[in-house]
Amino acid sequence: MKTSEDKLNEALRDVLKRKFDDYEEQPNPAALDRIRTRVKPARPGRYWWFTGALVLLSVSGVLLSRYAGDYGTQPATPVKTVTHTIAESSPMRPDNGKLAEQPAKVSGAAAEYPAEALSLKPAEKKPDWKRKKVVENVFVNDLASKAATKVQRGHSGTVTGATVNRNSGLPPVIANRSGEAQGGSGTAKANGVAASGHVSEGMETAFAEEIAVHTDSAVNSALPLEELAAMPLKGTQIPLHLRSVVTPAYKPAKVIVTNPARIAWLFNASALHSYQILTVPSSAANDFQNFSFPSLFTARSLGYKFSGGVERNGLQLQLHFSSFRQTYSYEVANNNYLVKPDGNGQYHTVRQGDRIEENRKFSMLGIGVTRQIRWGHSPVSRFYAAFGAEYSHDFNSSQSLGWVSLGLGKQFAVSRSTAFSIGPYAEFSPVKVKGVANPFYYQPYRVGISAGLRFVRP
Amino acid sequence: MKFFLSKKYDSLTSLVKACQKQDPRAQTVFYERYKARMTGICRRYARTVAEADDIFQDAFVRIFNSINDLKEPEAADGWVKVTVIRTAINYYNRTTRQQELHSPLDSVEWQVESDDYVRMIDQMNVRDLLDLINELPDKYRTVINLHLIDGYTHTEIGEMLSMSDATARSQFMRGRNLLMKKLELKGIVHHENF
Repeated sequence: MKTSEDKLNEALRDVLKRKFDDYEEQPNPAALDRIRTRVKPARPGRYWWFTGALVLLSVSGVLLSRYAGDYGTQPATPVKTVTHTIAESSPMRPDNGKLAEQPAKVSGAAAEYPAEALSLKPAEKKPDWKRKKVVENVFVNDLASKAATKVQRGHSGTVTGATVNRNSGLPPVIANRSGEAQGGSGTAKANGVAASGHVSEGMETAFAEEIAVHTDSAVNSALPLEELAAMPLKGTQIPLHLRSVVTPAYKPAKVIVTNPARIAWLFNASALHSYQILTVPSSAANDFQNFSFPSLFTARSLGYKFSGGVERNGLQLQLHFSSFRQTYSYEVANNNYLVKPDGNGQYHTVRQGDRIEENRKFSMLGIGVTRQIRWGHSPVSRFYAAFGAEYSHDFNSSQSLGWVSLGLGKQFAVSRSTAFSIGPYAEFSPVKVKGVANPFYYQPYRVGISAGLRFVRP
Repeated sequence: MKFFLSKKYDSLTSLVKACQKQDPRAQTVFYERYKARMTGICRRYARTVAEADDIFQDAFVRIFNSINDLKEPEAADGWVKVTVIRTAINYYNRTTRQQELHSPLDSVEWQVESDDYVRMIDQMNVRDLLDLINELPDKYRTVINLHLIDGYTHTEIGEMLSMSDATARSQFMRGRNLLMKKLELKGIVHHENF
């Protein structure tokens, strides 16, 4: 049953609503301009930015691995390559076992280093990249393959004066036996330097393909050509059991391969503990008090981050996906006060508040550039330091964050093409992000451990 | 309320979605659509015209910055109004929290019949009535506006103002009585003028 108070209230409500329901006034004419200056600026291209970055990353990765990964890279140190070609059907002289004399072809590089530029057969013109590939196929830049290279070098040593890189410690293997071991020898002259080649009969099949020799210009320049010519040829027995492909079984060593000129593929995972710098703006409408944050190490604040990308010359371009949770609580002060006695017999007033629990999840996709520096002399590991910048977009709040990051650690060789890295990682956002249902601003920072794999062709 | 819509934004939904993309033209149309009505609301909740301007600007900045939170564009009318009212409440929470609410007129007994008050209000100019409401202390003015004009219950008012239902109810009663006394005085003056 309605009381007289209720009736009065209803009557008042009716008349006031009638008066004010359609009440309108014109605002200050300058209000719109002032509002515009305070509204967040538009960012229309943010979605295109992500799409573009993704496409750029994919395309650059594919292109670089195609053109730089297989054929495009040149050796960092100047290494001269001489192609020593012997035709499978080279005419042989069964009587004296010497090869028929062939015109020696001197290429441009050979003209500069005439002693190295000997060829028993006019060398087929091959593209540079193919020559390089031949070199790589024959000589593996690794200590573990030394046994294999020794055998190859033994054969190539049939040309006197051709100095073999990393081969100075090995005696030149010259087959001067006639009969069953020595099928023939060839002599070629180039720039007045006599060079004799003795090729064993049984090696025809072994020499049917090109054999490339690394030559070291420093060694050449240290040994005058006259001295080389004057050096007596020492015949050495060819070990028959090594004449064919009887190299010891090659087992790749776990040598860390940095190979900065090649494209490396990166995959990282990090477990990060999240913290934040919280700012309460002075213009906030309410008073906030009694903030309660999680303890220093708790699973509630643990997040993760996955990254994938490419690296070349120490510069990394990666896509990141990360997730973390922000949990804390605070009180919105109200107008209720409690008077409590303290230990000294005095009383103090405690303002009451309504507790608010914050539990916000960030799911962020970002792109970042990192510069990684490696150092160390161990063949199986390297130290590294990485400095980076990242731009991330949060799917939950549609806000964006910028990050700067620092990573330190060590890389270990897992195989010749794979390295495992692990170390501490930290990132900090210099950009403040606004709270969703409160007026606070946050600057998150994350500290944790990062582990990753790096794949690169040796 | 007459709403102006450009040909480009033929529905409220399309207008809100354009504002969510921070289209400046849509924001202008949106502003034009609500400015007069929301200024009227600000005038009711504010003590002075200058404060009403402040509240109005704060409210629209808040509206444009958080319009992405509006999941149902059809509900934009109500959302905008609630945002303006909450901004006004926050404004006075921030600036005049410590205001003394006990006015000398609180304790004055009023003798006029309720029908007379209604008739008086009905006959009054809106501006004059607005001036009367503006003269009320902030808390009373807010509660009177929320309960009598905007239709919030005492429970909702208690939640909005961080107070209990009973406190909200008692503040409303005190504010209403104070308004009636002011009306009574205004009426007496009005009658004396004639």
